[in-house]
Amino acid sequence: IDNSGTLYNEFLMADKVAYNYFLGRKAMFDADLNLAEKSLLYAFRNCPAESMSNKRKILIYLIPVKMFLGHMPTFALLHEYRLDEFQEVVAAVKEGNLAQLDAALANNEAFFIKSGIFLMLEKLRMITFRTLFKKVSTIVGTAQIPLDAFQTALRVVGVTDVDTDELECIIANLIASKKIKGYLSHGHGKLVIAKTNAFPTLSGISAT
Amino acid sequence: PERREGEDEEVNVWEDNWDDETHESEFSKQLKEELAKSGHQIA
Repeated sequence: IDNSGTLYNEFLMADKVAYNYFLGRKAMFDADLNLAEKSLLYAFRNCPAESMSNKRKILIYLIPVKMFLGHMPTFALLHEYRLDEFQEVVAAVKEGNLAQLDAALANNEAFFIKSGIFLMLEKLRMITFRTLFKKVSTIVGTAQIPLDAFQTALRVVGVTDVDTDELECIIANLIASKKIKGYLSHGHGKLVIAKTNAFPTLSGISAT
Repeated sequence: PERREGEDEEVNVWEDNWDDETHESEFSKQLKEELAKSGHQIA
């Protein structure tokens, strides 16, 4: 269909919406978030307002994609489309509260599995770690943050199965994916962060 | 007719600035207390 040239313009809008919906879903599972966002947004925007149930189906995939890219759905949107199952997940990710995230996923497990997005939502843990660590860095207020401080934060959110090696691994992944600007000092047991903008906004990272 | 970006009435349904820490949540306060209790430096 991508190679159909000008013929694409002749297609019915309903078919274009359907095509973009499936293209977006596939892109999401292929971890091509930018294509997923573009396709699903197109489908959502061009799906007639009276087709509430179809728009809702599109949103079920669009919401996780948007969240990964740092755009959180408003509670008004979730409520309008009867997607209140997402409320708690969104709140937890915004707070950096892993305990709340795990509880939110467990509470709505059946719905998320039925929708095929449970594993996708589980990956939001990474973003949640980033926001939790950002809060720790703000509280501690120095460029050199002892790894112990992060361990304390993890205990607060009920994560007790992460040892120092695993913590360093999580942080290293966050640095590699540009979610933290800084480096690990293994010898000193510290994370050294950039003096400015050490935790860039997620929507800023994905835009570049 | 195709609807372009920003044309929809639902432009404000995505929030980008959820990350700024202008207000301190209950959770942030709890985090701060626990870090202080564990003897960490607090800014």
